[in-house]
Amino acid sequence: MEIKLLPLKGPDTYWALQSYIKLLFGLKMLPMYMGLTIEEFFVYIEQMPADDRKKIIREAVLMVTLDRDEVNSLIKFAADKNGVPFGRENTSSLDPNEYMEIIHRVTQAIASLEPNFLTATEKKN
Amino acid sequence: MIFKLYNCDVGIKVDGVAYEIPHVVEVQVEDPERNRLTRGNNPTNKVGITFKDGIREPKRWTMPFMNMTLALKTVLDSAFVDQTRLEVYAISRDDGSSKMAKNAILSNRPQQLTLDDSAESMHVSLEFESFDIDEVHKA
Repeated sequence: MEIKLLPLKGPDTYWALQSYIKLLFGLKMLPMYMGLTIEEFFVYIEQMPADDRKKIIREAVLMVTLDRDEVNSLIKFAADKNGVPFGRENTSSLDPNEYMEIIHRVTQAIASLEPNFLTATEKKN
Repeated sequence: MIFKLYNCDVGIKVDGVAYEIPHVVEVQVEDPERNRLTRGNNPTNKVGITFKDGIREPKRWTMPFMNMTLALKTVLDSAFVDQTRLEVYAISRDDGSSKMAKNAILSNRPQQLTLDDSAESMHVSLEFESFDIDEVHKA
């Protein structure tokens, strides 16, 4: 399936970013990250090389369940090969793998942005 | 013959991508193909000769679409300009029976039915023509 990524711009990016952060929160709840505080976890994510961050986001997409609205806020930043953003008109015939692939591609694009979850003071502490 | 399909979901396949518009109010289907009878000037001929009429004319589907996005309308506008071949299908919401028009074209430019539509919710009238109609009936 051909997927075109749309520019991460406009007010809807806020909801997409919130969904992305929920994926990270979900990951934080896994036993391997339970020993970290939330600040430590976000510093860990922020300081990670972009490639490692993409890898960890792939795990989050597989393990964390998003609500329908959260999924919709992510997939609208990808379009089919005719350029129509994924939404109510063109998602009903997608299989689960295609759905996951779209979520994965958009979250990878967000993961490649420079994250800025914490203030400088929070990072110092 | 003109008839209407009610209570169905309609989909359009453009370049292999399926777009579905749930709960279309009605689809008007126009099928000009007819079997006709004729005879010569002999009024005692009670059998006559059969012939087909209207087979040069395509079947025509007309439907209003509610809540179409601007992105999809743009794709359909391009399909009209480029005379792109499309697949159009209507699926009954009652039992899943379906009717499909293959190798169809948009015969009219997609028309907005109201001017104050938003980009997320446009009301558009579409008209398709096709010679290749297929039906699937569910038991």
